[in-house]
Amino acid sequence: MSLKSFALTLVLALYTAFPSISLEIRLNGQLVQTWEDGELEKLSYLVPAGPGFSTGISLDEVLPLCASAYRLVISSNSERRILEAEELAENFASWYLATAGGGSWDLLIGQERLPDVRSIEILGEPLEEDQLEIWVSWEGIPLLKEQFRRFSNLHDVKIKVTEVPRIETKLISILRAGGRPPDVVMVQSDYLPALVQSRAIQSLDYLSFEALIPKARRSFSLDGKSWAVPFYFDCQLLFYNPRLLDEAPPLDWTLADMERLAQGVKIRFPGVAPMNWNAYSAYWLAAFQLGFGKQKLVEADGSIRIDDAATRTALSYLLDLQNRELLVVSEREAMISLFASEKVAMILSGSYSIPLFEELGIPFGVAAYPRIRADGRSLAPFLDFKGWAISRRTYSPILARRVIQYLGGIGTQQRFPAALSKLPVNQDAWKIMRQKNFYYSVLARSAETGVPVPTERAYGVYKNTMWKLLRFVFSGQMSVAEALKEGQRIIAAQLE
Amino acid sequence: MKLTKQKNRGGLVSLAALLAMVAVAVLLSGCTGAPATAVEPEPEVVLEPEAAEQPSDQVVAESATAEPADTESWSIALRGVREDLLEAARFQEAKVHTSHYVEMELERKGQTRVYRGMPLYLIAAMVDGSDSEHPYTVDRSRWSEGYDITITGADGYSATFSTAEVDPKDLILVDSVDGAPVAPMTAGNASGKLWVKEVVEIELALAAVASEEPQFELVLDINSKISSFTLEELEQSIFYVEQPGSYTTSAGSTYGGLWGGVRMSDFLGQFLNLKPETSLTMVAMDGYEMTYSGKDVLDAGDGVWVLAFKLDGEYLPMDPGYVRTIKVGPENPNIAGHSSVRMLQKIVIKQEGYRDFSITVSGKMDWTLDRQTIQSGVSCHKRIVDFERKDKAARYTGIPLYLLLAYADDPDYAPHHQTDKSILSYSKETARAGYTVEIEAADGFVVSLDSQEVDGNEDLILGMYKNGEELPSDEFPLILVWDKNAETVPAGAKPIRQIAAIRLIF
Repeated sequence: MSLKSFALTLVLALYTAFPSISLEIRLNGQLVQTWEDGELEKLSYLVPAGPGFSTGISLDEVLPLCASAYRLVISSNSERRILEAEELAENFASWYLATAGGGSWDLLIGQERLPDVRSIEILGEPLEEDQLEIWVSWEGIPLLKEQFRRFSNLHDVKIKVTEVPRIETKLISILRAGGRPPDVVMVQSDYLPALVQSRAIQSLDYLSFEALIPKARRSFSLDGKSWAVPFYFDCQLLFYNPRLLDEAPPLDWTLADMERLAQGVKIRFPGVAPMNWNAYSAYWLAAFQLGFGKQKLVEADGSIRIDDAATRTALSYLLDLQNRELLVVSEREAMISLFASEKVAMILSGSYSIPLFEELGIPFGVAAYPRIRADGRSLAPFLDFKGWAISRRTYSPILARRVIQYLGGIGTQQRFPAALSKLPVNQDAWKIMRQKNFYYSVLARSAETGVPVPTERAYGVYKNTMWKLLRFVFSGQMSVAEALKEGQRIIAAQLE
Repeated sequence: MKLTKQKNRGGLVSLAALLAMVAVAVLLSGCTGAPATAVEPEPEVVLEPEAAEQPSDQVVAESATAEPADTESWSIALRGVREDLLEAARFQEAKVHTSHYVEMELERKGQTRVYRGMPLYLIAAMVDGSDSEHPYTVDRSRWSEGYDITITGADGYSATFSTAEVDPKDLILVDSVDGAPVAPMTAGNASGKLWVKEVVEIELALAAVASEEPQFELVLDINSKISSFTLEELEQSIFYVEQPGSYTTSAGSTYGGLWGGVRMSDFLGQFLNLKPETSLTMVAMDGYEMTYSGKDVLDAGDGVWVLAFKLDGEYLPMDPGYVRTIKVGPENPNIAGHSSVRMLQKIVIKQEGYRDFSITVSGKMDWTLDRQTIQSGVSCHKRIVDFERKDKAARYTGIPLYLLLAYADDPDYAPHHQTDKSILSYSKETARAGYTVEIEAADGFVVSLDSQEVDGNEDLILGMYKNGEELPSDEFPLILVWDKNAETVPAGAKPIRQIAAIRLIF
């Protein structure tokens, strides 16, 4: 072996045997953390890098928690760079370290790439807050808790996560009783009127929503203010049993296609209901109202009109489907049961049903809502957002904010929604989902044509009122016109 | 991993590796050219602020693009024991008092500035007690004990702290920074979370407990599915009607008028298929319970049952209201008082069918007591016993037997059927004088007891519920049981089931 070969071998051996120091983190002049290459790699995931993606990690998972940061000094082997701005810490969740190979990590700040970073020094105020209580609900709690555990371990903070079935009413009860509320709560759109009125949550206009998909940005707006940060959303879909349909619904299909498929089921499978959903609930009627011409469910002045032509047409259409024995109306539990036992060919449900059906081993396919006609509007599925609200009386407002930024970051957005077939709110996560989610095309189409569930109080009034009236319509006790007229009277009276 | 010291082992090893690599690099330098130095950085390159990533969420007061904050005509809402408004003009007036306006030199984000303002505790004093004008008494002891203060900025940011954790002198409401007026902000020797810009509200968690009564809600428990309705919601229901009806008490008094409420069969019909055999249990706020059959509710012969909450245009007060069950109709129907459940809180409907029954009580008077009468008695005179026999144990709920003897132990007075309430319907004297109490089951089996041993015996009951549920078929409708620790168990007592009649033999 030549001297040169021996030296090269020795270098490689040393490099392999002994890990190198990848990244030093300093806070106000003090070394607070050292990240080795292997540690960073274990925590990494896909992060946006230029036109594509790279393996990396967001800066908020690497740096210590700061209440604020006004200066970053970034050092590599070849240069030092200084970033100065009022609130740098607000950006850490959307800046990334990306692996460049060979133990080297580059810092990605927007479109700029700072190669081979060896140290980052922060000047700012470390975060003193070190504990948080969060209430969560809905699906995926164990996986959600894993995300909190990751944050908690990375930053040595204590996060108490409690599953609460009905967060809105419990939070208001606690506040009325003078008790201590949690710091962060998971909310859905229709929680907002009551929580805002009871001064339970704080407005979040001071947070950035730029990283979110456009439809998510205003999904928790009420009275001109944002009250929660979206976390994920579900969309309404049509689920079908591929064994019972003559063909799978195409991506861009129409009501006529749907009826044709339903007729096919009726002829070929006499004991099977072609379609079944909970048409008693206005939650499923809205898509048809919007498809048949209604511009918006809630008017600009906060009112709702249901005595309009679009609503009459929509409800008449559904009633006609029932009369033609193409649609059977059942509540959700019955509908799911019948679908699982292959007694129903097509149902309307949310994307949250996908993991359930997969787990049950039910044969199913998903389709986006159809158009009214080939050149017409699409039925507009509801986009049901879940998000994070911060209690007005939290002792830890900045820690709450950091956790929410972490949950909206590309790391969590890849891990959590994808595992449950939910839709991420982070724009970059959507690009990753394209390659990884089997149902992407249908989900993307639904997100494109869908509308967020309204946050206005009028929507809750409308839903409760229609719950009673739609039963009368489908049972033949009231005509469409009578029901809508009476419903409008009741809604108007309640909103006065 | 938050604060990890640089690992010595790792550091020494890494240093060795570095030196080794440097040495090897030197060895190879003859082939590669100038040696690479991994230590000396290039001169510092400073990015201009505008080239740095500007956070989009921060409202920077100095930014030329941000709307200038109001420094002259601002106001801050104050909430606490009382409510008040701190306006800029009032703030200016208070500043003349030297103790009310202080100066603090504070370092923040690398810059030291002079902040001038009013100590926050003086502002808290405006609403921490009943003082409504200057001079406000500062409740220092309360501050020390600790209560929450929530500060809210114009952008919605809110932060809460406990006064016990902040020295009164450490936090001020600032209106000047380095001599320049600013919109009011909080600052001080305190956590950064309490530096709130453009303060719009300061709230002390000292408000009195809300005096308003919690809103009443009628609860439906239908096959364990719970829903609730406010009176407002009920009045907006399409089943709301206003029609006359009345009820007559056992004392012969009749109460009636124009009742406003929702038709029970239609209202409940939204949630289930109400059948004649459905059992509906009405639970009042004081625990009283009455069970209706679906047949009763569906029968619209002389009127309809409503859940009434208005009488003659006025809402029923809590006592005896908020909601009462009553029959109404154009013919002004009348019902027995005990069938009209007042202070109704909850309606419980379970899928098992309603089972009606009646028993006869005979002696010096003869009565037939229907299910509602018995149930009314159980609700009013509830007694729970733990019964054990032949190693079988169960908990029964019912009414003491002796109370039912009151229906037939004299020719004149029966429970709830006399106007002179000073006269007890139960005759203790007669019971002590002695008579036989025969209890007969549906199959004719009879048990005979001595009234002297039944008299006042709270441990001897006719059980109507077993372990919280209706009696099983082999015991229904009533069973004679007694507490395992009863002081007196009448001779001859047996747990006779399916009771159909009680006879007093004199």
